[in-house]
Amino acid sequence: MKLNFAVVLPALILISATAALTNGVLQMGFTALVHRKWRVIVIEAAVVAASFIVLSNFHRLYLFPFATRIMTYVNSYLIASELVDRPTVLDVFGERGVPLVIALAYYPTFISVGRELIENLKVRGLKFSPSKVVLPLLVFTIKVANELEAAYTVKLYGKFRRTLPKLGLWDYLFVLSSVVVSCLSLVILR
Amino acid sequence: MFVVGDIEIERGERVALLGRSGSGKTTLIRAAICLRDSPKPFLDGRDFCADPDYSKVSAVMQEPSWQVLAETSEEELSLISRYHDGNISLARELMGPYFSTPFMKLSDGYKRRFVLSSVLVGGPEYLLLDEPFSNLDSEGVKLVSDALPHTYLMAEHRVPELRSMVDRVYVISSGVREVNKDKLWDEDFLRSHGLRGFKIWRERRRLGETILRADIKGISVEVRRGEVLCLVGSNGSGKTTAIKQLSKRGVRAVFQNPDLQFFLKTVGEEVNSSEALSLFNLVHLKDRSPYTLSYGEKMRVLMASAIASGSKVVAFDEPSTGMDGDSLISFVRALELLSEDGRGIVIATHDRDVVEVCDSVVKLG
Repeated sequence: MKLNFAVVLPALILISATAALTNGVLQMGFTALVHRKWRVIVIEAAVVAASFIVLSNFHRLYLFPFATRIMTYVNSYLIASELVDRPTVLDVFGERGVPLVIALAYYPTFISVGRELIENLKVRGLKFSPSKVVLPLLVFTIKVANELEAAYTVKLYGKFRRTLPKLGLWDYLFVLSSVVVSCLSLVILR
Repeated sequence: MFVVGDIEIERGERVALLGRSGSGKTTLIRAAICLRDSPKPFLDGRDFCADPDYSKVSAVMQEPSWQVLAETSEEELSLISRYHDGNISLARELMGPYFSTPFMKLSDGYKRRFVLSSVLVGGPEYLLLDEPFSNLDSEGVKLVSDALPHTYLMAEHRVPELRSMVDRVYVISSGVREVNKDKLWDEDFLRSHGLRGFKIWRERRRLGETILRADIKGISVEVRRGEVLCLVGSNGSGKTTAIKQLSKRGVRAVFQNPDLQFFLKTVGEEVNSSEALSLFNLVHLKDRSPYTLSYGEKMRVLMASAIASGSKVVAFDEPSTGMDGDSLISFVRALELLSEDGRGIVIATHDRDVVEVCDSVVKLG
């Protein structure tokens, strides 16, 4: 299931905004069900339960909504990074969104390179220090930029054509559910 | 006809551009797609860069991981379709079941297909390829070569793969010149031009006592003093994992991509032993940054650093990736030095040239 960025952006803004105005429990549950990363959900549930127990023992339960709001924002980030059909970012931002789409494609590469650098430091028996990692990372980035320039040139030729967002069933369901959850949480609050 | 510098390609022709690493193959391809000022490329007699049309001339550079514009082939084509129309069904056919698979999860062969397919959707009449077979096993080479169009210029130094794939051959060696295709079988020519494809020989010595016993993927392995032991297997058979396991047991490992293994400013600091510097003929480079060296020199720095570490066994993960003929000779000479010094050597590889120099071979996968 991939969602259109033109739908995800306003829906997540609505969810995050109403989470800030309410106790955020419904929003947290809804966003968790959307990304369905069960390991994350178990950790979040444990954190929220622990917060509830600790805060009630210390008679600070009024702080509890902060825990659920944070989980809602984490879930919103996961939805935005994992479930968005990335080229649809261009439906919202136009050609200015191209560097963003490309940058999103590269973050796994840079994470794996960072991991490799730290492993190689260990193999060399050298102690970690940021200055040691910066130089190879910089050399790597320059090499990537050089090849990326060629790829960008030969693949993205022609004039950019902005298209109207094409929405599917999941997009409609997601936006509708976001509105329902947001309204319901406000009603319950009142 | 497409012309760049002294190279001419007719429609329907498959042309090889040979030359040692650093001879200017990549520079020439970058000039052909107007990313450098000279030499000027001409398409059917017209200056191509005056109004470049990449639906006619396109290129695939060397490293697939640095040419992707999106996470999956499907997403990349969706991005490309916002700029120009293309034959998306061709890309779907080339990627087969991996059309929607994230790039990082693909095999090396399919990573190259990913990049190739997103260029081929534009239907270029002329395709320029920079070392398309680097780090591919025979299965990967087949995956890529089956996807190639009818007209291309292929820059390579791995000659055996090219022999049946090209009609004409150019070589860069103090200028570009066309040579007879028969030269691809001439070992003296290949050796003197820094190309791959000639038989390599290593001086064998009497092996000493066992210095390492390890269990690699269920196979019991012993390494003796002075021995070169090769772990062979196709891409994804677990060779890198095996080398990583050995590195946890005190074996000094040298992985692929030397640039990610240098952390200090000069070669002298990296090696930190005047004896190792002179043994590997690096004294004249000791004040240079390791990043500015050729691939063969970088490997020598890593080997010198490994010998200086005092580790009894040194392991290499696919050391011949990106090596031209000169670097391969230099690598084998350095192996002889390590072996002479009584070290045990483990090499994970699928490169037939490297397997030739091993004392023993263990097959993985």
